[in-house]
Amino acid sequence: MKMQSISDSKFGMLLSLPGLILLVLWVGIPLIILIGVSFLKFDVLQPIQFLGFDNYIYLFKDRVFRDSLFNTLTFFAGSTLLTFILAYPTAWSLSRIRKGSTTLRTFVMFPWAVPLIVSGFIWGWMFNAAYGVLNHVFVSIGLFESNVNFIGQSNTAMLAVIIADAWTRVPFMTILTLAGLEAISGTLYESADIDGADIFQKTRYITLPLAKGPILTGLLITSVFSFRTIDAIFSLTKGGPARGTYVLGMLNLDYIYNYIEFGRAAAVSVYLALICLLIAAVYIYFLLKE
Amino acid sequence: MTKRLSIVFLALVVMLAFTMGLAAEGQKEAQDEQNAIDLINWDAPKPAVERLTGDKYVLPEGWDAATEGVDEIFYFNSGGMGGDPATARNIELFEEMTGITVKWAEVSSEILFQKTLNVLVSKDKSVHGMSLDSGPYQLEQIIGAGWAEPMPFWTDEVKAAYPDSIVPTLTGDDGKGYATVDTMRAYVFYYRPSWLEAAGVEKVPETWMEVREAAKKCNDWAKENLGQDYYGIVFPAKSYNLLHMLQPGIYSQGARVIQDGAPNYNTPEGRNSWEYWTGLVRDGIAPEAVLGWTWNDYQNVFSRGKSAMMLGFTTWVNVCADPEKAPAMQEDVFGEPAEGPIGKGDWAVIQPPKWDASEPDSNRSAFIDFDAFMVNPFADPAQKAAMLLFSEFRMSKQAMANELILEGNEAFYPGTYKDPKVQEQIMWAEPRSKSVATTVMESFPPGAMKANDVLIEYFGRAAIGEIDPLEALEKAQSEIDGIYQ
Amino acid sequence: MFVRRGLSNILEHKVTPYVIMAVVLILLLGPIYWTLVTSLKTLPEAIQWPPTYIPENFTLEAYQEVLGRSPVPKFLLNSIIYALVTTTIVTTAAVFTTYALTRYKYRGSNMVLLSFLFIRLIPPISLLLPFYLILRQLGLINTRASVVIYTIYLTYPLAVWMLKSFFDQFPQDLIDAALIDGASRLGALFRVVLPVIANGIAAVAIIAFLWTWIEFLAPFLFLNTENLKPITVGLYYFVGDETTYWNSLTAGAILAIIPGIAFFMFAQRYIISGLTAGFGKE
Repeated sequence: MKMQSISDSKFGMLLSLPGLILLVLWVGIPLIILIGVSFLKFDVLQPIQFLGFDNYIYLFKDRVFRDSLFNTLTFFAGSTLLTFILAYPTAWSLSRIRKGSTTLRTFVMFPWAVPLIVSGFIWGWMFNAAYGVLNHVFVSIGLFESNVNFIGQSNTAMLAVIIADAWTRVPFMTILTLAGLEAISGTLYESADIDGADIFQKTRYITLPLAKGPILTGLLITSVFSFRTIDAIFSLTKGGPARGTYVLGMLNLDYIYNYIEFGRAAAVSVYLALICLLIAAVYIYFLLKE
Repeated sequence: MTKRLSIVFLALVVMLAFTMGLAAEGQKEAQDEQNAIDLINWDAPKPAVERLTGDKYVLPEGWDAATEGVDEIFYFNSGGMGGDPATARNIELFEEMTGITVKWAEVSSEILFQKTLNVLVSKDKSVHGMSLDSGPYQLEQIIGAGWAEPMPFWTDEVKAAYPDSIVPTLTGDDGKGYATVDTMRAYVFYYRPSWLEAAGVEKVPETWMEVREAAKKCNDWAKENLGQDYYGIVFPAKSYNLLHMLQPGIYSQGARVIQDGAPNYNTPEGRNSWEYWTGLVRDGIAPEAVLGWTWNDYQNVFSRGKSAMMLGFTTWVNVCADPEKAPAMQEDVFGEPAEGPIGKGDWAVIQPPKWDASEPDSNRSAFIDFDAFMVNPFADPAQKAAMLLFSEFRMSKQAMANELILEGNEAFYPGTYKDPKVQEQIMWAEPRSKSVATTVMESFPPGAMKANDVLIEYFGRAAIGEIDPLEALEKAQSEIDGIYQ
Repeated sequence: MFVRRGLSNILEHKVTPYVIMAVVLILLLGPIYWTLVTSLKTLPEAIQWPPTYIPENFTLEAYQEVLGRSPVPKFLLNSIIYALVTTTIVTTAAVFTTYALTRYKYRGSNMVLLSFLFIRLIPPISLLLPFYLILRQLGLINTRASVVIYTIYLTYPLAVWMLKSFFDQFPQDLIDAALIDGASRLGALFRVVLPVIANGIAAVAIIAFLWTWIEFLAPFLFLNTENLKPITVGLYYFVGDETTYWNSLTAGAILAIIPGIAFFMFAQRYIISGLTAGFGKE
């Protein structure tokens, strides 16, 4: 084959062709279709009409949309927060343990192997009002008097789905945080010790600033994923009760599969994407700020 | 070097071919275009109505030519086959008659409508028939969208032989029939005699007002004597099953929901019913857990002995009478073995209540719930023909007798009840047939699913005291009006 | 002041990390343990109250039911097919693409790279609708291709971006040396670069495999017939209207978790190094 005779840049173009095809075909076209459809009335029962921004305006004014937006924000903020609260101490502990740390790391990774839909089933089972082990634990230690129907009430249901989601995200966040922590030279801590700093000061002035990159990246990815993955909610509560855990993703699904209004579904998807980008932009701003 | 490159390219090509091959798996080859269905003569060898309502179902002429080449048909069954012994038996019979294997997927009612719509919107050929588990709310939309295959066996005579409360729902504007009834469930009122007696309820409740009083007494008594997880009355408030409680409240006052072609729950009767059911939860007579219960959950609570009363399916008589499925029923509330009114345990069944004493007995009405069954218009003609035969068989007297006896579903063909052999095998025949006689059927215009979701959501919030009930109903109805504009 | 100093001393004590890890492990592994335990019970024992923490009647009947009498083996096979096909295609294509974009730049190649990053910020769930409409037009609903097409879209940008870090770190001199020795550009890739960044490639392959394995919504929406479904969708088989068969469901769940756990046990260092290289530098 006469590959040698092609110039370097042509070679690059040729070889990266699959990637380009993906960009255009797989992402570009669906994106254009998505935005296009969002301007239409497309409900299979009536002829397709151009509506301009009507779908967006309708959703903006729609109570259900606003409620689900609120739920989505609550959900992703809760999940990210919970993930961080669990991951940081874990990473910190792992960085201080010498013996057996590899084994421990392996164990910490396990929840990541769990598909989110399965996590929903697992936690749904543990939170079950009649048979759930968590109810048994809570009642036995006297936290509650009798079984709580976690999934039957909106606020506890939201907590339950947050837990089911965050649980799978802790390993990833831990790894990244750990990488950030381990990259910090020990001598910095030693000199801080000499100066009499306690752990809070060390964390605030040494650890967090220096590990900012990986931690913020981890948080970004965790939030973006929590924002956009609804599998755990699907299997745990399916958006209930009384739409207590109804997030934008579920609204999207309902418009596609229950109400069959594709134009509105597309508009919901676009709103979702825009908010995602906004969140990412915020993080990136903090990442780049020195 | 070139060799390595070629190997890589070859590998890629092989992989691509593999993927394509796998891609082809899901598609069936298109069959010959001649419309196989036309080969069937539905009124031969006897008129359709006779083929269906005789003691044994008779296949129509031309069925074998129409289904030539079809070995197997596939449909979505609502829920698991374990709970459908009649369906299983009917499938066996069909397979014996035609030699066509019937395959099914057990799809839980949570996702059944979604999967059905998926098949229809994507014009998928591989699913030939689908169950619609909330017929009244879904049929108009499906038929209106042209998504159901017309069923030629719905001749005028056949239509006359089947309940005129239901047949219009199965018929399109063009007068053609587009669905049959898969399974049908009327509602009856269940109670535990020993419980009512222990709680000091003197008379078996016949109105909803009396039910509430009795439920309160039973609830109070149970909380003191049995435990926290015993309830006066239970009902489902998750998903459209809630409507099957709200609507009887309205029908029992002699009113209807659909007015001028759209549902209106904010009428005087609607408000009564709404306040009643939210009130049961707000006053603690029914637990908040009802918000997470579907038709299966709340009836299981009753048959496990944790509730004094319920408005439940007629099918549940079979569950209550089964010592394995409902051991608690075989005992009374004090744990002593009990024979009960018909010797099947401490439970009894009466017609659904009327609203209050001022109503006539003809208003002892509940809603009739049925699964509709339809054929996928996008499937291949021969398979559609086969599935049409299957649908027709399922609504015959022979198949319906199995539904009645083996599963306790009500028979879609009313004549089934008159058969003495059938009569001696079903429990509580009198209240059940009375209930079927006074039951109400309303069919809901497209958009009902969305409207139901709104109603269910506001019910939940009103029931836990988040909003005032009447305010919730106002808001819900105004959003529903918005959907139907 | 003293409270703070005291707290700091407690936190910095040698034992504290172990205590924290113990708590964390209970929280992280507890649910998996509970799922496993439930799957080893009979259904009546599984729904017994109060629940038993160790099975009284240890039984494998749930697994027998799941592996013998349910479609789960088919579901698992499907999951494997989807994951393997996607991984092979994505890893191979990503290697070539990234090699080209990092070493053989051309006008606009940086734009292409940035676009890959941008793609990752669009939620896949937003593109479900257009994918669905397109697949429906092409008649690909209810085919294996539909799922693979989607999972390729899902994993490809990530693969490229992760590999980019590895490629970036690779010293150009080694490539130049190989080229001088008469190797072709592709030859340099195979002979010199790949062996060194094999770790990265392994990490990418594993991540692509896992992401495809755990995908639920796309196969749920694009597939109708049982024999094409992966295990994530297939688990709904055990969610009945009558009862949920908890012991079988948990058995199925355990089977769905095993590949991921196996990967973590055996390939842990690849994954970690691949991740930190890929993400840590962003």
